[in-house]
Amino acid sequence: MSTRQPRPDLSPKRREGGAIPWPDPALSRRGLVLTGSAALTASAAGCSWFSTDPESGEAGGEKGLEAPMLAERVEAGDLPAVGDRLPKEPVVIKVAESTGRYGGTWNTAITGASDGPWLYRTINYEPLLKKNRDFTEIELNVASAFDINEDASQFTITLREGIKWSDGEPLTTKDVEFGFYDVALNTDLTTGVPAELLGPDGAPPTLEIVDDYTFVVTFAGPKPLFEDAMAGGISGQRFTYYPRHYLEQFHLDYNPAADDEAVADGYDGWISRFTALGNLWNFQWENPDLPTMLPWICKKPISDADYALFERNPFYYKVDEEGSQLPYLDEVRYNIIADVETMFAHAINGDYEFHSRHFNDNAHRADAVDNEANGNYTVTDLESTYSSDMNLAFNLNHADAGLRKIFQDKQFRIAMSHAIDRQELIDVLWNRVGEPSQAAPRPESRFYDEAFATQYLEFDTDLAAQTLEAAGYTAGSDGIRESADGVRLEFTASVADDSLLGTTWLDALDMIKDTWAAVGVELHVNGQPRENWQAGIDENEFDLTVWTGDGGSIDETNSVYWYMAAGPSGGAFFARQWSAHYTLHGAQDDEMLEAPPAAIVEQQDLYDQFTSEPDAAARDEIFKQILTIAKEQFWAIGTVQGQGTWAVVSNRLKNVGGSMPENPSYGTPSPARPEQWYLTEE
Amino acid sequence: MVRYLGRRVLYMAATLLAISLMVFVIINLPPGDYVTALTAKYNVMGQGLTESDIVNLRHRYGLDGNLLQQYWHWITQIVLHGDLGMSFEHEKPVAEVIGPRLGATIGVSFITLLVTWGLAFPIGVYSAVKQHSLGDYAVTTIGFLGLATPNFLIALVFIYFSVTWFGSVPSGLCSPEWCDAAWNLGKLLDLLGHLWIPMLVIGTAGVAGLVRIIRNNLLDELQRPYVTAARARGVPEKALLRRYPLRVALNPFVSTIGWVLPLLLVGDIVVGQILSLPTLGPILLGSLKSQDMYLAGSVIMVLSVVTVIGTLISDLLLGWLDPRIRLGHQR
Repeated sequence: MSTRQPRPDLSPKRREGGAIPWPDPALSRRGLVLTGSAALTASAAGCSWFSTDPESGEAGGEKGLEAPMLAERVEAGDLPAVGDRLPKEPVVIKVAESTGRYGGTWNTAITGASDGPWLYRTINYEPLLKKNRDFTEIELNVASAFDINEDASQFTITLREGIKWSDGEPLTTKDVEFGFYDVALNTDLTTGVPAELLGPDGAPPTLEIVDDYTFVVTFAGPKPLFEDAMAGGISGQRFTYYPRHYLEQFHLDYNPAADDEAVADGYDGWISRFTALGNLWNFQWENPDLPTMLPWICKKPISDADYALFERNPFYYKVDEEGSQLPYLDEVRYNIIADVETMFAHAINGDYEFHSRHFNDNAHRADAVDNEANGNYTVTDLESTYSSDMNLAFNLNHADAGLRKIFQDKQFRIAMSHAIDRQELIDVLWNRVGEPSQAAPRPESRFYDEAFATQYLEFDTDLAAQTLEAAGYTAGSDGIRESADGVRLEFTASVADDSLLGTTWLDALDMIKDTWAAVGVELHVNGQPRENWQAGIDENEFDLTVWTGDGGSIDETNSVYWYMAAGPSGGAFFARQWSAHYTLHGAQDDEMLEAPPAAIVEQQDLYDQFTSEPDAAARDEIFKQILTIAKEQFWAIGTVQGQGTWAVVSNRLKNVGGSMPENPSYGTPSPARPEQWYLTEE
Repeated sequence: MVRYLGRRVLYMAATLLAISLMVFVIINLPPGDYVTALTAKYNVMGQGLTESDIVNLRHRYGLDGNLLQQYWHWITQIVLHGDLGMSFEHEKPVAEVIGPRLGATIGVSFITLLVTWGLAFPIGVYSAVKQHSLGDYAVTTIGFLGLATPNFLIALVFIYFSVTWFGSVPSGLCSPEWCDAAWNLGKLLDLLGHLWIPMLVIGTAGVAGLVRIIRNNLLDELQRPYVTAARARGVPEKALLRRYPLRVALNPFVSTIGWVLPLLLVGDIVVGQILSLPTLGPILLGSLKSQDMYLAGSVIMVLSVVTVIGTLISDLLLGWLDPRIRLGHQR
């Protein structure tokens, strides 16, 4: 499935008339007649007090150029004709399996207002550019042209002409200007400039508006990853997420009374009102009035308790190959279910058309498969992208000098890796499906290096003990080893106990504890709620911790934090301070206990080169050098590459297109283009 | 009466003030604060925050003063302006977050209270009058089971059987197709179809407790000499029971509003989470986890106010019902 530029056979005459190339009068008239009669039947149906039927009927399935529910509104005069709603050159989406039909509701679930990622992954994904389903190619999306100059420092971007917000107002460079200057660069609204808007000199680019649809972004030096960022779910919407005509009234620069109005509305100032009503990542799903570019727009926000409802955007800018406006599905409904087990009970009962979050772990897989026939759904495997499901990071920046020295000793880390019985972990905790692996790119990655992925994997307590002995860790009277400085090898693992893998991490560490004890190392396991765990990590108060091995494939070069001291979410767990030193350009160096060693600095220098190298092949070579250093230094320890997660897909839901990767950068399932999913009658 | 009422209201205010201070301190005990959680969120968005950014954020959210200053700010805003503050997580005024859910919470609790009484009263009377009968033993056993089983477990068991037997998951207060429908008989039936589970789950412990109380009180009264005397004079058994011992045994029953109400509200926190009720429970749990302290504090305060008012009502009812209490202070 790929987005295609519209057919080249558009005649100039048609353009002049502002008409669109496909209206087939016969077809649309038939659609209107049908929907008209459907409406009649609906209104004739009784709605008396003694009726025991809900009044919401399924929409009719006859396919025209627009959904019947919209055709009705056009008929009534509430909405312009479909040709006037679409841009001049709509994005044409190739369906995954078959051309769909209009109607139906996609039921899914969300734990509450704080559960943003699932909304982002399902419906909030309309960047300037968008990657294809395989995540290998970048296609045009909101933008109709994206030109890059030779050294990748200047980007000329054209918006699709005639593209409209969900309230019918056109999207132009005026909105781009507003999003850039008044939101992204406004320090009141955006604390810290977003990474995708930072040039190699650490400053944001300049923005030049050419005309209503074209704008030029110029960085001080090469910024080749900007194209990739503009295809990202969040980063790619920075320029086209802020409807100026609606949001200006809440912005202090445009409305001097904004602050007073906000306070009168119960907010503590204009910033919090602006954020609540229209800021990226925050709560666009709380504000039904906010115009968007998304396929479904908010009808009922999440805080209204039972469920949140999103309805088709009448001005959505994509069509199928027959020229029918997408999306096919009328509504997306997020049932608010705070408890994951209750959510799972709904899922196996067949209440969700598609869901791939919250309960899709190993522990629930068997029950989900058992109930497939019962719930009329199929369990579809998602491809894992983790280097391992649980990577261990010793804190190389530990506040205690003695422990720090131990953790920084590569021989110690090698010994600890040999003292993990990965096969037993697989047999007991991973349903016997999995491969032992280090924290290295996966076999399907273009950066795969077998030696890196398999070094120090074999379980051998004798070898581990010898390695420790040779490195000067001798056993004390109680069998626990001590370093040459007299520091006991006794540590606590901090674990977020509500991890994505259920209790697997805690159970695995309990098993590792035994094999480590056999080589004279005492481990304590401290499971804590995610929030407390995060606080401990941020305060640099931990000996070792575990987390998913992000960056195994698809996002190797973004989620680099298992390979080097850099990356999102505060950087590497094994070296938070050295990561902060790099990502924050030395702003927190006062707190740093120790300057980063040569290997760390070399990797960070290489990453600087990586981010400014325009040539993709040369970029990959640089990244391979970073990985080579990671292999030599063996910063972190991997465990098991397990089976990936899975999705429940209703047998009525078509065009999902089978398995896909599960990854936050991929934003599962959005690259599978939910706008072209559809439901069969039964 | 006025003095009695005045004194009760004064106690109420003092209790609420003490509760508010406790609540605020306890919410702030865990390490980190909301900005910690927010920093993690910003990091995911690719925005590295510097120390000065974080200081600014703390200032913006009013987290930079010490705990006492934060408390003072919060409580004075509530008392002077009726302003519950902003929810960090929802980026909305707390009142807007709580408002829509308060009705459902009180509604579910109130209906549950009525059901609790409706069940507990006849069962309690029956098991006292027919002490040591088979029925007495049966309800006593069930009562003890109800007391001893945690609410959330009962809820999960109900969900399990509902899925395996009826093929539907009883979460929320309405089925998808009915939530939007206009009110008619079908919607009412649908609501009742959902409401009975939280009612039973939350109510079981309360019913069990009340049955024990009624039974014990009535048993005490039934052995009093005045009962024997009345019986000796030929007062019919039913009229006797209704006119004398039952009225005395009713006292503790009324005063239970004070403790059954908090029990129901607390029960709602866990059960609401599991059954996804549109009540305050799930909100409270979420806000405690993310240290959204004004929201958490306000939810607890609102529940406390409801409870304290419930206690006041039960005290007044008791005074109205029992002249000994009403006139006791005049002596």
